[in-house]
Amino acid sequence: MRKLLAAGLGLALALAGQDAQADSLEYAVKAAYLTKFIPFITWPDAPGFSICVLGEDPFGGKLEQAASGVKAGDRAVAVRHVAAPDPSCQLVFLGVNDAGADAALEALRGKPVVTVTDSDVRVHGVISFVIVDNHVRFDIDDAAAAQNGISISSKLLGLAHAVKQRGQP
Amino acid sequence: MRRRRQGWNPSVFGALVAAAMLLAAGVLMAVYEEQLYSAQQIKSVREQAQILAASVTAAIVFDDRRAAQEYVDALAANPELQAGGVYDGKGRLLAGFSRGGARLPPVAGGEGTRFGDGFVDITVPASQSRAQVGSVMLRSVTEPVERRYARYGGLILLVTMGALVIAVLSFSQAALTRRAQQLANVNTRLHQEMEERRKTEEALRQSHKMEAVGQLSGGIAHDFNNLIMIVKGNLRLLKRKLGADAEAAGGYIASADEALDRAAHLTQRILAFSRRQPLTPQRGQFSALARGLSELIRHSVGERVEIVMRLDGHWSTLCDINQMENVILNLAINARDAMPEGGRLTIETSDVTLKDAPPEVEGEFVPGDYVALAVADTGTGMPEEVRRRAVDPFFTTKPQGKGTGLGLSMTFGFVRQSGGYLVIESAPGRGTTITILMPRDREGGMNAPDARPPILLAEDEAMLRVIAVEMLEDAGFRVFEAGDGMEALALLKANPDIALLVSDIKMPRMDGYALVEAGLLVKPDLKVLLMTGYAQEPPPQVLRAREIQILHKPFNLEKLCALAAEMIA
Repeated sequence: MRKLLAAGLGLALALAGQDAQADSLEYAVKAAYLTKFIPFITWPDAPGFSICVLGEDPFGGKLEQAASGVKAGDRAVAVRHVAAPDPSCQLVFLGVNDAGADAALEALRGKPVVTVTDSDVRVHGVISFVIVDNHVRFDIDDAAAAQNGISISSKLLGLAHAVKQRGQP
Repeated sequence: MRRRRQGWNPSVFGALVAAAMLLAAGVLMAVYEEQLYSAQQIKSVREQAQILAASVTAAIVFDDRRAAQEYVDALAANPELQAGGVYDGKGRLLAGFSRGGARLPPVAGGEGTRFGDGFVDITVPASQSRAQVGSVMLRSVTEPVERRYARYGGLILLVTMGALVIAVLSFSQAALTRRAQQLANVNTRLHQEMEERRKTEEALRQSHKMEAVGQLSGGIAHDFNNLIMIVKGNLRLLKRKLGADAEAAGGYIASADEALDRAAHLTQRILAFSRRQPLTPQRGQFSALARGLSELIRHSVGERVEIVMRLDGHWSTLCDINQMENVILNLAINARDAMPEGGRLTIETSDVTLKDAPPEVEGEFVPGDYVALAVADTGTGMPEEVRRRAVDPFFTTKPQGKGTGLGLSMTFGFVRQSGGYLVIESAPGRGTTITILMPRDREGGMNAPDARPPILLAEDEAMLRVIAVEMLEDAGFRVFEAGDGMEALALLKANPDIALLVSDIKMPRMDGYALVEAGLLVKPDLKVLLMTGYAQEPPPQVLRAREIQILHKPFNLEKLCALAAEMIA
């Protein structure tokens, strides 16, 4: 599993040098993914539903575009930009460097938040984007999800590039 | 005969109905099964589509064609599915498979079930968290070919079996009916044969009995007759010897003679029963006979009995008329005795043509035309066992000394000897009818002057001669009469057609022997009947006659007639 994660990382790094158009397409897909995860994930009850972007926003408005009209159950999905890890968010994209991501993951551990890490960071949240064969894929750390009190549909797990199962160290 | 009802017997009919019902049930079941299968098939395909839709949502959402393909390919293992497709939220085909020439629609159809030619398309939505993300379509054959063939095969098998069962049942039923019919026929025939055999055996037994009794009694009667003749002759000699003293002994001799006459009469009747009496058959009509006897019958039966005569018979018969008269009289008297309180005596004659024996006739029967004379009374009647023994000699129901038990026996003997039949019908309280059937004689009427040659009678006793001539003429003969031998010889010479000479022996001028001797010279084939009171052997020249009979006196005139008839016939 670690090898896979490492391979994914390597590929993502290789992609880092691509031009801005390709970059923009990649983040459009990632933005769409973020909204598409929602139906396959069950959170504890909360008054609202927010997709938060911590730190730098790489989507450039595409996330807001993708989230518009999307509903989590009967709640409208809002996109917020936050400066610090906010446990009221349901989904947090960590637009920070490795150190920041580490700190954020630590801060949100045990909170009902699905942390999403980008393909070019070393640390991994509950969901981490990976680039496989020039395609955006994602790994899922179901153990971390369980720790955060979140359940992820097996369908989504089935679609993940790699899954860290519950109960695994 | 009890005929079995033609047709199906209930159990076979039931089996047939059951077979037909089985057939109908099979067809119904096949139809029902097809519909059920169709419904189940659709349900099953819909479930598979739903499972696919549920599991493929993530693949749709994330546009993961490979994952979607893997999911849909899993269903390709089901041979009944011809095609399967996964469509995204915009209706575009994401992944799918198809085989057997089926083509996947590139765009998702509406949700639901659509039937095509031999297939059915089922489209279900793929939803995640109540939001539709795409759709799944599965195409299934409505029925797999092998399954259809199996079903048709089963149906054909069922129909064949049903038809076979019906055919076998029909055949066995027909065979059974035929067999039962045959059995019934055989059984009927067996019973008929048994009954015929029983009757034949009974008749044979009866006939043997009558034969034995007849022979015995006939033999005894014959010997008795000789004894009576001897006693009678001796009485006559005794009377002659006594001469003047005969006056005193005359009464005793007359009594003895009378008793002998009665004895002779008795033996005569026994001989009649044993069918050994000499008969003189003559043509006659029963109707004429009965009419002639009516006065005598009326006298015999008395005032209390009403007499009804229905004389419709016209045919003639050949029988001994005198005996027949006796028989009618005898039957009338029997009838009277059966009706002590009075009643009605019916004498009826008729012409009948019989193909079969009347039921009461035992033994052999010759079909043909018969003249019938029935004597019926309204008297006490006879039970069956008495009726069966009625003709047995010495069997009588009359009190001791009242009847000899020979009346009907004699009648029976006479009738049988004449080629006729005696039919006795009787039942207690229903009277008795005795019918005599005699064969029809087609030659002519009563006492027709026949072609028989004339008889020459020579007798010096005028009284006797007159009676004898009358008797013979009554019997239908032409008779020339002569008072002595000379006269007789003259008549013989004048009438060469004379065939029989009946002559006394002791005569004036020319005695019987001389007459015979002379007569044989005139007519060598002359038949001779000598009447003699002496048991004396005739001289040899007389015995030269071609046919000679000697009638010993005393004889009754019937015997003379019978013998004459026998010799001339």
